[in-house]
Amino acid sequence: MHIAEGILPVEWAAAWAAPAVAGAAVGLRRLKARTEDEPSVKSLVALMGAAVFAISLMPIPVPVAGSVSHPAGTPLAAVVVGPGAGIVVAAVSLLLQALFFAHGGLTTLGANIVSEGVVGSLAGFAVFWLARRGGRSLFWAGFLAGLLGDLAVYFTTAAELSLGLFPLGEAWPRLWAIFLSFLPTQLPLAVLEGVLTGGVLRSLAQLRPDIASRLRVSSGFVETPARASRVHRVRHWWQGAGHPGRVAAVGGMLLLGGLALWGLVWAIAVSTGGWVGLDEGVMERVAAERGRAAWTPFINTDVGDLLLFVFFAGALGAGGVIGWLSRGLRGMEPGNGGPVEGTTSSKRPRSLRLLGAAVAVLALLAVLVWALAAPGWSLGPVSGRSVGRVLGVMAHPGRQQLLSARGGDAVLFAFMASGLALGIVSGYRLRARRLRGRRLRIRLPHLHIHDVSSGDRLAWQSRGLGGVDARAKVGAVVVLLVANLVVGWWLSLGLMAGALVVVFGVQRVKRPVVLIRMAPALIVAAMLVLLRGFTVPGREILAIRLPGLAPVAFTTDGVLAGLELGLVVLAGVLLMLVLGLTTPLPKLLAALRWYRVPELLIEVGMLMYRYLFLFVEETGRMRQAQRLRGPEVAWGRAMGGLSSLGANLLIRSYERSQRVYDAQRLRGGTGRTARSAQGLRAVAGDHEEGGGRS
Amino acid sequence: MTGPWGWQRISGAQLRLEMVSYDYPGGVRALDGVDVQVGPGDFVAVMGANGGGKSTLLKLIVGLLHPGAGSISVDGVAVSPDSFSQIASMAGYLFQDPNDQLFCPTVAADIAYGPENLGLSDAEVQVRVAWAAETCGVADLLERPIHALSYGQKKRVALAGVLAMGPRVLVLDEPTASLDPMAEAGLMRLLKTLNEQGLTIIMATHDVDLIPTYAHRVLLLRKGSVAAEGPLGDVFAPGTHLENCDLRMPRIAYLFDIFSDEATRPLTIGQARKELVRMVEHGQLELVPILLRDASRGIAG
Repeated sequence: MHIAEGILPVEWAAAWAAPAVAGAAVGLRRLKARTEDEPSVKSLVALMGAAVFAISLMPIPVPVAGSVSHPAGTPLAAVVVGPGAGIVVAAVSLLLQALFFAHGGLTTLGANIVSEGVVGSLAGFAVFWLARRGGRSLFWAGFLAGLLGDLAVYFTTAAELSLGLFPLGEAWPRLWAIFLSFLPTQLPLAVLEGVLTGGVLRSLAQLRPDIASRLRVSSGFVETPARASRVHRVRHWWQGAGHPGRVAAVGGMLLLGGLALWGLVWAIAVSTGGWVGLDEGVMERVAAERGRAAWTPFINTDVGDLLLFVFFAGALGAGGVIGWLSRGLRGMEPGNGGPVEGTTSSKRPRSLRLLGAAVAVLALLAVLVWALAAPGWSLGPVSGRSVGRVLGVMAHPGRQQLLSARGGDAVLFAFMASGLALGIVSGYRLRARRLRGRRLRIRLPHLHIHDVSSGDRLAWQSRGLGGVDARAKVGAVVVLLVANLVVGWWLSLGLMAGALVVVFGVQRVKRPVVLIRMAPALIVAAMLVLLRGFTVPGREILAIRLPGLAPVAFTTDGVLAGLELGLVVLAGVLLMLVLGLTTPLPKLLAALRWYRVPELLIEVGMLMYRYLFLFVEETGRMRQAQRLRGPEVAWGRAMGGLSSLGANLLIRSYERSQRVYDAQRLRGGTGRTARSAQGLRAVAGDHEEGGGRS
Repeated sequence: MTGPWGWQRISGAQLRLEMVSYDYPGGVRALDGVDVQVGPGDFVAVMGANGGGKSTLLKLIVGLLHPGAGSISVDGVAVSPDSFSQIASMAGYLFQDPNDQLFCPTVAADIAYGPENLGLSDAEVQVRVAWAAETCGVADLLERPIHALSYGQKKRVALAGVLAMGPRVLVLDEPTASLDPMAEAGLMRLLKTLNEQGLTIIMATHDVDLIPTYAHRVLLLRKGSVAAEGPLGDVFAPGTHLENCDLRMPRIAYLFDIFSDEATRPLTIGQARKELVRMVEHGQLELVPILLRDASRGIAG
């Protein structure tokens, strides 16, 4: 959900900074007030932040979209440390992510704090509080908080994008269009976030009720008997239902949910018109349409729009069925060690029939797509246009616009083909695992310590620019980033050249190091060139005309337009890279202190930096332990495992925060900063100002 | 070794624990009527099985916990919530896990944390940081981030942070746990030097082999009560049922058993130590460290 550097116009970047600053200020005041009663809460906030930072950098794969994303994390943080401190957690981790990994950005920091921090924390906490007041259990209250909080974050992001990139009159329908386009990837993630938030809270209350009540997570909950018996009835039914019953129940629920979602999508799409792409892909595309550039630091998720997604998913499903069935056939081949368990020869005709049906469905789907993709095509009474009209929403005029903007129908077919291939391979492998009596493999996502520490090490060892005062560097980079947004391509070119000279000439950073960090930006820049090359009309370099399909043309004007945008992207990334590779984070934070960033924020940031590495190592070890003890886990158990892992991380954070606080006050800090603390100054016989409050 | 802020010799603090009892919140008794005195400049090893009450005792001394019954005083100042800062300025506490203790981003910042809280000027803080880093052998690490240090280095930096406060008694919770043999020896030598300067040291440890070389006195805890207390020789004398506290005799005692002649057996550990020191001084046992290692393999292995 991070809005990337360079995407919001200057005026909107400034406009979002105001509520962000206000939210952070309120959060800091709340945190400070809470620190008075419970001084160790500050270290807990920092440790929570480190955990959220580490977890949110672990890629959670979204297989259907081929993309990688992560939950917001703030609803859980808000429930655990309070909504005010939740905003602080988000603000600090967004700042560190921008400085450390170039994830998000500096000019877009305000907008990101508003969506993830302010809205995520407040919405998550409010939902949790209301649900608890309504007598929901910890799990369900946490689930709702995670689900709705996550969706609220993305709704806000959509609002920020629509306001920033479209005229005010267009903003409302665009908001819905952008929000909808987030849903294919974000809805599963929001459900995942809900399950994890609820699971972590429940595990916490089970494992350490004392901590749960001290954090005011579990207080004041009354479980109503009627609800409890309902839960019991459902569980009883589930246990007795047997395999077909469960499959039918889950399938039915998925079908109903899918239909409801489709209805919603259809209704809103018809009322607003137009579709856009996914997550950060959306931001890039929307920005590109408005003549602005964006970059993403890790993985570019520009995988297309809702229609592409639907066809991709359809092909994936069909491919999956084909793969599954064909592996079933192979299991009975002679000379293959005889019949494999679960496939008897009597099943063979059935498998063949199913395979035939699947192929037929796929062929039908292909015909439909063809019909839809080529409205001019006709065969007797049936024409592409008429088939499209039957399907209503797919004949929407927005589709034509979109497909041509995407480089023609070729993109659609490429999506279908890749979905099909992926489906066949996945289905085949799933069946093979099943036949071997093994279950779906789920592993904890993992961030290697090396990924975190390599940039950090470079920054500490930096010579040359590394010696320049961090305050000057921060100021210069911010000014240049803003200039990069408002001035023309020539400035971007100059900045890029300058940054390259600094990185290779002055700093003598090794090429692979820079290339690894630049790779995502280079890919985005290349995609911008391609996208613009296919979409901007002008002198054609290459034109592909297939019968019945919209023509695909690549133009010089498009390439130039793409290059212009690409330059802004690369210049922005390189500027951030120069700052990140020459200045260690503690020095950056110290520089921000000079710029009058509140002390508490800096302090939490410093603590977060200190414990971030420990967390990455710790989660890495936990993951290894999990793998060693049981690599094959069913979905349900894996989620339970993740929840208890999260709860354990939380417990460890809590306990460590107590010890860190002890260590601080033993050396004269009463949870306050060294320089400003009264601490032990009062030692010489005078106890009034002493640091011994406990 | 001279301190940076003018002292020639540390004036070690005196500790007095009178009938101290402590119950965990669940009602489990951790300490029961512990009555101990530690003189200035003493080096006391607190020993006992896991869960014997060692860490609780140490936390009570620095005021992180407060006894349910009895009283504790450091140099006459009663340990209480009100006197926390005063006690903290006299007693330095080294956590078992240095990751708990090191919360600043860099080595220099962490060592400076305590002195800054003492309200010293920048120059004074710098002098103390330099001295503490030099003393603990981490002077070349000052600008490094904490997470780039090895475990042994973290331990030394944590100790430097405590020493920079200028403590008069050092309370250490298993300082040698998880250290490699060289780091362990280095740390213990440093503690011994500080002790010779007059610093009072109380150290919880499981490592019975370290004790004879460094500690003067041993406090043996068993299920929250004092099982034995006194000079090394008395506590490790034959007849003390160390196995009741899940301990054994130091390997140096077995070693001496090998060297000594039949007539002088059985020896107390105190006698053995004296005898070994005499033999080393006379050049008869130059290879003691190596022999110690081999003997520990041969006997205990």
